This record gives sequence, C-alpha cells and structure tokens, in this order.
Amino acid sequence: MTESQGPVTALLAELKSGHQEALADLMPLVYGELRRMAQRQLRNERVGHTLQPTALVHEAYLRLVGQEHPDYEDRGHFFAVATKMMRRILVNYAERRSAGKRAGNHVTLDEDRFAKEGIQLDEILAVNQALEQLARLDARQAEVAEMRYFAGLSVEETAEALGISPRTVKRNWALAKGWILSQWHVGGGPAEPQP
Amino acid sequence: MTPQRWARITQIFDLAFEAPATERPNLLDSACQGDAALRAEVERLLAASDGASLPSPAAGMPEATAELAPGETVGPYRIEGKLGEGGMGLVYKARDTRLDRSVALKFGKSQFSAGGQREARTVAALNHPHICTLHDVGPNYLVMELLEGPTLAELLAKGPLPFTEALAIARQIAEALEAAHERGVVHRDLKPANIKFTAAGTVKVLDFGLARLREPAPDNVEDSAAHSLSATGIILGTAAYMSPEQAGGSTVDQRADIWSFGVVLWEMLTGKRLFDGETMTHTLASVLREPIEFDALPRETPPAIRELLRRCLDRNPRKRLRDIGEARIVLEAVLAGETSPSAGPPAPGRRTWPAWIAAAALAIGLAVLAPLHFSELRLPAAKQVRFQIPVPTDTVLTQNISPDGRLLAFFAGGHLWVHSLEAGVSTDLKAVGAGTPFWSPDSRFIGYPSEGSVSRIAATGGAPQTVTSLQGRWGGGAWNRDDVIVFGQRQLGMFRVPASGGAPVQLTSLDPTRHENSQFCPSFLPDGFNFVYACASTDPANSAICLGSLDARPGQRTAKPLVRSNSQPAYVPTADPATGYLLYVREGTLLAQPFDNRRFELKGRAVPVTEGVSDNRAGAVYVAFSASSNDVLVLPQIAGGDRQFTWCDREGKVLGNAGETGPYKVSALSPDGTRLAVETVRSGADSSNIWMLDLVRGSRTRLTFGSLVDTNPVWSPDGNQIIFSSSRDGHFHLYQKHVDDVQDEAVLLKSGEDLHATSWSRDGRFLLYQAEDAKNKSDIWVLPMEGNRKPVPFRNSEFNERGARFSPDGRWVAYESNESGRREIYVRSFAMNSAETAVAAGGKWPISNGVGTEPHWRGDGREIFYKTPEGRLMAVEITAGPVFRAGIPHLLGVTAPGVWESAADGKRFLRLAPSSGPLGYTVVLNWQTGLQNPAPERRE
Repeated sequence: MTESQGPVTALLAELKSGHQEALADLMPLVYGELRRMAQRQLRNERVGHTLQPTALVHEAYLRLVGQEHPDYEDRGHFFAVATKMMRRILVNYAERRSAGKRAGNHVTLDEDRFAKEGIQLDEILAVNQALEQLARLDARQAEVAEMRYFAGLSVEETAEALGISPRTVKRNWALAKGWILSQWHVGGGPAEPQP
Repeated sequence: MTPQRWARITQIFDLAFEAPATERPNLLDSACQGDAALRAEVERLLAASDGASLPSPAAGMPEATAELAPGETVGPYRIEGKLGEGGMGLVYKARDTRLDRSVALKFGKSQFSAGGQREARTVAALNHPHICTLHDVGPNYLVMELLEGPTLAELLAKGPLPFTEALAIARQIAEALEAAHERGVVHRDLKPANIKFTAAGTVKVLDFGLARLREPAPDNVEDSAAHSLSATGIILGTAAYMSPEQAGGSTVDQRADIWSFGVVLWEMLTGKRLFDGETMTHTLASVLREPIEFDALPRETPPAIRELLRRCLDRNPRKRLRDIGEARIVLEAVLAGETSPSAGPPAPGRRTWPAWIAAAALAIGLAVLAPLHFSELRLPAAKQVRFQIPVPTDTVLTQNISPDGRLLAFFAGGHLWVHSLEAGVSTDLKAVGAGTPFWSPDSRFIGYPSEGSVSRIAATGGAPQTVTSLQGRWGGGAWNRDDVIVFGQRQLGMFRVPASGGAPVQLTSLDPTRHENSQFCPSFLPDGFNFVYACASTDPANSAICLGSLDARPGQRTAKPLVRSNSQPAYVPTADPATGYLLYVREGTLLAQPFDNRRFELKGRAVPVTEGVSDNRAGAVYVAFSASSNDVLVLPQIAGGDRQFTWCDREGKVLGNAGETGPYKVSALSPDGTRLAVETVRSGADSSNIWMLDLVRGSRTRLTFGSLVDTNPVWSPDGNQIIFSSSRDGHFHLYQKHVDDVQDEAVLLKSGEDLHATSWSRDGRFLLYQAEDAKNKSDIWVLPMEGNRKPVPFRNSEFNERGARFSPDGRWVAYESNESGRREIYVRSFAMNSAETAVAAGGKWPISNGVGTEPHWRGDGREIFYKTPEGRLMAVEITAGPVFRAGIPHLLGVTAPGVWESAADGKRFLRLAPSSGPLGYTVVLNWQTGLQNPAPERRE
C-alpha cells in the first residue's frame, strides 16, 4: 500500500495543477487496483459480504491515496478517473461473459454465482450503450449517470466530483435514467413497471 | 435526435421533474407550445424515470471483503494480521487452532486448478531445512511455515553482500534446490523475493513450484484473448531472474532453476541485477540476448566461482550446468578452502575440484583467446518472444507501434486507441479518425488522419491539434526528429508539413509512365531527410518501394525504385549504425533486407521474417505490420485469415454457419436469400475475385476472373446477374455478368473515377452507384439500365454520400451522408423525370439518431437497418403510405464488426467474422534475432 501511495497522490496533484498528461499515468494505476479488487471479489471463495462499486471505488481511493488529509479536489479527480475505469471493468466483464454465453461456453462457478446474484449482464451493456448515445446529446448528463450507475457514487459525491450542485445531479440523473430505461425498453430489454 | 432538440427536452424535463405531479400537465402544455412530439418525448422520459430505480450493477456482487480482519477464521485458521501482498495475493499471519502454532496463509487470486493442487501437495511433501514447509493446501490458499525474517530482496536492497555470506547463502539455496530437484520439483520462479531468512538467519526458499498455481485455469483467465506475459505470472520483478527458455515461452526443467540460481548469486556478489531494463520488454530482451560481462564480477571473485557462474548462466540449457548439486560442491569447497576472498589466487582449493571444473577451465581458456566468439555464442539461444494483445471487438487492423516499442496506436470504433504493452491496458483517446496512425520520434505524439485533416494528439490523450488539411485519401505518415511530417495522399503523392502545423508542400506525384495509382506509407531513414515509400501501379511489375527526400519536387523521380513490392515499407535500425533493415511484404511474407543507409541502397539478401502476413491490396493501404526502433514487431493476428459467415436472429442469437470459411471481404445476398456473392481474396493476397456461395448446398463457385481486385457485387432483381467493380483496368469500373456463364463479363460503365454499384432497383430499370474521385469525395449516381443508359446524379454535393439502396418498391433511397458533419442515414424519395435525364426533387428524412452507416431495407420496406460506429445494428420502423414516416431507431442484439446482410424477412442477419478468435495483434519481441540468415555484414 505504501509503495503505491506516492505516485497516485503525486499524479492527482499534477492533475490539479493542470497537467492532463498525468491522467494517462493515473489511469492504469487506478484501473489495476480496481480490477484486482473486483477480481478478488468475483473469485474469492468466501461469500457473505456485499461490496458495491461504491465501496470498491472508495476502498481504491483509501488504498491508493490514503485519507490523512483528504483533499476534496483530489478526491473528485480520483472519482472521475475511477468511474471511467469501473465502467470499463464492468462492461468488459459483461461483454466477455455474454459473448461466452452466446458461444455456448459452459458456465463456470463464478458466472453461475454472478447470475444467481442477479447481476444483469445485458443491463450493463444496455446502460453502456444508452450512455454512449446520451453522451453525444449531452456529455454532462452522461457523466452524471456514469458516476451514479457505474461507480455507485452518491448524489453529493457526484456533485463534488463534477463541480456542480446536488440539485443539478438529481435532475440530470432523473433524465438520464429516463433515457436509459426508455432506450432499453425500445432495445428489447425488460419494460420498467409503471408506478 | 439532435443535441439542440435534446437541450430543449432537457429544459422542459427539468422544469417538470421539479414540479409537483399535479402541476405537470399544465406546465408541459405551456412549455411545449403545441409541439406534440416534444411533449410526448418528455412524457415518455418522465414516465420511464419516475419511481424507477437503476441500482449500480454490482450491488449484489458476492464479496469476500477484500481483506480478512484479525479474528476471522478460514477453516481451522484464525487470522492474526496481514503480512503483506505477495505475487499470488494477500498473505496473512494466522493461528492453526488445532495444532496451536503460527502459520502464514497465502491466498491465490483464484481457485487453484486440480493440477495445481496436486502439485502443491507434492511440494508439501518436501521436508528440508532450507525449504519453507508447506503445511496444507486449501481451495485458494496455502498454509505455510511462518517466517518472520527478511527476504533476500530486502537484504540486497542495501547493496552487495559480504563475499563469504553470499556464498553461504548460495550454498543453502543450492541445497534446497538439490533436495527439490531430486524429488522432481522445479521451483520455476527462484528470485531474491522468494528467499527468506528465519529469525536465526537460516535460509528458506519459498514457493516451490507455485508459479504454476498462479496460472489460472483456462476458464478463469481474465483476459482469455490475452496470452499476455502478465497473465502467465511474469511480472517485472520476475522477468529479471527468468531463464531464456522461460522468457521464450518454452517448457522448463530444473536447468531453469540453475540459471535463476546463477542470476541470484551474481546479484549477491555484485549488488546489481544481472539483467535489468526499465520495462519488462527491455528486461526480457536483456535476458535473451544481452552479453554477460563476467568482468563486472568483483575482482576478488575466485575463478571457481566465476566458472560456476559461467556454467549456470549459459543460455543454451543443454550446455548449462546440469546438476545444482555440483554448484553446492563448488560452494562448499570454496567456503572450506577460503575464509577470505582476498586471500590471493584460489590455488588451495584447486586440487579438490571435481574433474568437470578442470575440463571447463580449459574451455574458459579457449574462450579467453576468442572473447568475441564467447560473447556472441548467444544468439541461437535468444529466442523471439511472441504474445497476443487483446483489443476492442471493433478494431480495424491498421496500427503502429511507437519507436520505443512501448505503445501501440490503433483505431477501433472510429476512435484512436493506445495500448500500453507493459500495463496491458488499451485507452480510448476519443480522437475521431480512421487510417494508419504514425508516431513522433520520441514516442510522445501520434499523428493520424481525422475527417478532412491530418491531426496530432499526445499519446496520453488530450485535445487533438490539426496539423494540416487532408484532401485526398490517407496514405500514412512519418515524423522526423526535426519535427517535419511527411504524409501520403494516395492518389496525389507525398507531402511535407511542419509537425506544428502549416500548409502542405507536395514532394512527389504519381508517375503516369509507370501507371502508378497510389503512393503511401513513408518511413524515414536515419538521416531524417530521406525516406522510403510505396509506389503502387496497376501493373504489378511496376509496383515498387521508392526513395524520396524532403527536397523532392513533384514530377522528378530522383532515384530508381529500390525493390519491387506493392506493400508498405518500413525502415528499422539495427545494432550497426550504417545498416538497417528495409521491411516489406511480398506474397504474404514479411521480408527484411539489409539497407545501406549511407549509400541508400539495399544490400545482401531479403530474409523472411514471418509468413502469412497479408499483403496490400492493389492501391489500398492495408498496413500489415509495424516495427519499433528497438526490435519490436507488431502483426495483425488474423491477417489473411479465413472468415466465416454466420446467421443470427434479431437478438444476436447465433443460428448457424453459412457456407464454408474463406478469405472473404465484401458480400451481397441474392434477392431470394439463397446465394451470397462475395469478394474472396486470392492466395497471394494482393488480388481478389467474386465467388458465389450457395447457402443451401454449401458449395462455392468462382464468378469473376480479374487479375487485380474485383469487389462490391450487386445482384440483379432476378438473381441471374451481378454487377461488380474491378480495378483490372486502372480505376474501378463497373462490370456486369451472368452468374452461370463463365465467359460473359462485360464492361458496364467506365469513367475517370472509381465506381461502385450499391443497389439495383427491383423493377430492373435503375442502378445506384457511387463515384469516388481522387480526393475521396463520393457521390451517388443513377444509371438507367434501359434506354439511353446515361448516368444521372442522385446526390452530387460537396459532402460524401455513399451506400445508397433502393427501397423494395423503388420509391425511396436510403443512403449515408456526412452533410451534418458526421455519417448519418437519410431517406429521399426517388423518381426520374419522364425523359430519364434527371431525378425529380423530393423530400428528405433523417433515419439514424446518431452516426450510422450501411443502410439495408427489409424485404417489405417496413424497416431500415443500419450499423452504429460500435458495430451494432439498429432498426428503424418505416411507414411509407402516401407519407413517408420513420420511427425511433432502436438497438438490435446483433453486433457486426465487419460485413453484414439482412434477410428479406428482417428476422435473420448474416455476419462475417474471423473464423477463429477475435481480431487482435501479435507482438514479436526480438524479431531480428530470429532471422534465418543473418546478413553477412551483421556477422562482424
């Protein structure tokens, strides 16, 4: 932990001072950590705890940056990067698994459990697709939805990471949700029960 | 849906969302101002959003907390604390509650395979004072003897060890290896981090044979497409100690441990890693071929130890020390005979040396006489390392490796991506474009063709910068150390432009006397002034790699062609500054020929590097390979590979294969859906013909016989004829032929442009085709198939229009245009005036709600299908009564990265995909060492 604490903190500082290049160095570090953590949770023999993406992202932050002197700007940058990485992890996973299923590969233990726990591979892919389309219409709305859905960030954390008000996050999230669910419905996914 | 309309929707949605439900109807009434569609859309979004929850996807993911807390139990073991994180995973200190002893629990990243567990149990049977005891093997953890001392890696971090201490440690390691080898256990991953000390200072070797446990079972491979080095457990720290045969991917035996033992002993004596590189790639290259400087050993190292190291560090396993026990004997002898390393020549011990040392000493004498030979004894053992890298599914095979061999630039889904070979991660730079990218000499920037311009972007991403405009078809680029970019426009020639941006200056033009039709892929020579590039001709005998320079002028050919080839060239440096290699492809084989970069001529013979590399199609830039300046080569994984058509339903469910596999490209499904006309690459791979696959009987018949490229078939409505494009006569012209008559193949239409037919109306009266000029501008034309047969423009604008298709009733045409700034699908009405001299004006309807290409009509005209940049198919409902109406596009389950067809019923789709595995790239490290016939001038 101590060995990776340095670079991420330093890279976040670079980002803050406007060195966008730092992002490229930051991404593999965050991606690696998140993927390691996600793999562990998907593979570990022991079951019993539930870890959500939100927990993954927060834990990655603690592992890579530490919490002694939380800098909210750093945390925002970190969440922004971690969200992209988390999305990639989930989408890659879902694509590979559903490709495997289509190809008739036998289902391994992990997949079986994944299915039993109700993880919708199709949902991940449909949301990903809908957000790609939404990003072309309004990038900010797509970003909000990405953070809420793929990283499980709270309204406040999303607001903090994007530098906007929680009220805007709520509105954007509602609209993005409407977009995703209506697209998904059109695209053949399960219809959302009307309230 | 446009962003403007969406902004309007957002505005109204936000108002309504924050208003109480009772006020919404009134609010919507006033906000939408009678725009019923707008209101419906907002209401749809509100309804979908209201009360719906969309929880984060992994909310229910099973999780063993990432870490175990003290007090938790795993089987009979109670966790006492975390010790650290090893190569396998987390390591804990724990208490065995049955035996009441402290143990170390080492968790794997996944379940151990049955084979791995069996092997672990063999290791558990090893009982030796210098081997860390393995007590138990769990499903994903190992229970080991708890060792609380430091590792050898920690000791070495402080510098070299005292001579006697180093030998004493080495002796204990040798004893441990000897005991394991006697029981047939190979360590496979001996390194300082795996050598620990007890509190009393005794050496314990850890993790015997466990490198294998780290290899996940095939089903569990996270990146199954990636037989990446990291996936097999090779990490940076390990690569340095790995034997050459391991680095080369060969199977290993105990001799691999003997090599690693030598590397560890070396490091203990010198305090420095024997093989080191800033990256894993460099480290592996160093392991494979770096000459070992035995002079770097401390001066006081006795000859016996020097000789031992030479025997351990022989790259050829067959010549290497065969038995670690021999090493133990030498170490014991030296330790017994000498308490101080500086006690002069080690004569005292010599008489006790085993016979082999005397024999070896003789060999060393010879080596000293011919040191050059010794240091070069090397190369046969140094092997190429090949591995695959995973890429997104919609990757196109144009790619370029950075000069430093660390990053691969490529395009997928219309975006520029960079793959880091070390991190194993691909990053979407979100830069739009398509074509072969190129690198700045410092590997920090990428140049690439974007829509209508040559752009550059930092390899780490960020905002792209336009370098210059691009009028013609992209023909590759090269960037020299003075920041001058040379780039090709295929039908125009080579151009230069400052990398900082500016107006392009033309350097070369096509040579009409040689019937050149394309120039592409410049590659700078080391002087940064001269470059090589490809000049393709309609006459294959004239296609050549030429030499150009920055002061060239269009029309003057300064040098004669270097070598016949119609593929991309690439110049790569070698260890010799005066000589490089010119890489080029001929008949599917990648060749390397020594190039004298002072005389600017080829010398020596061309040597095959690898086979099965796709050649270039006549006139088309299809980059098969790229090479870095440091011996890294990247090849497309399935270049020239066979492909398979498969049927699937609307959900993407595979229904079955269609026809046999083949090197297919562009296809057309016959009107009755039973036959497929498909461009099929001829072996030799620089030309293609149209073949017909009978999807019912599975047979295959050749339809066309052009000597170059025959492509883009279109069926007649009765299924008896096809029209296709052929480059047999320079440009692509349209030809027509009956499918059951081999002889009959007639020119239909010729012009100075490239012509490609796209649709034949069902009544047989009209043909839609696109005409592309030298600047790649594409327009849509109508050719009446009866009467005067005079082409009439359908869409002839400043924009690019392509892929036009008649609706089944012939009243509408769906096509693709970039008039909005991106490629989108539109429908226009189609009617000719009575004289058939012009298309009557009519309405236009947008179909796609975003980027879309390749429109297809359902057989009854009730739906249009098209493809998104991500390769997914979309469907749009069409109501074409008196008024044409298009529904909202929605996603089908079908993904088609390549060619696709839709059956008339709209229920089945045909997709073309590689018949084996996903598209990807093969990386070859040290390709130069594997050349069959080293060029004469490389001998010395």
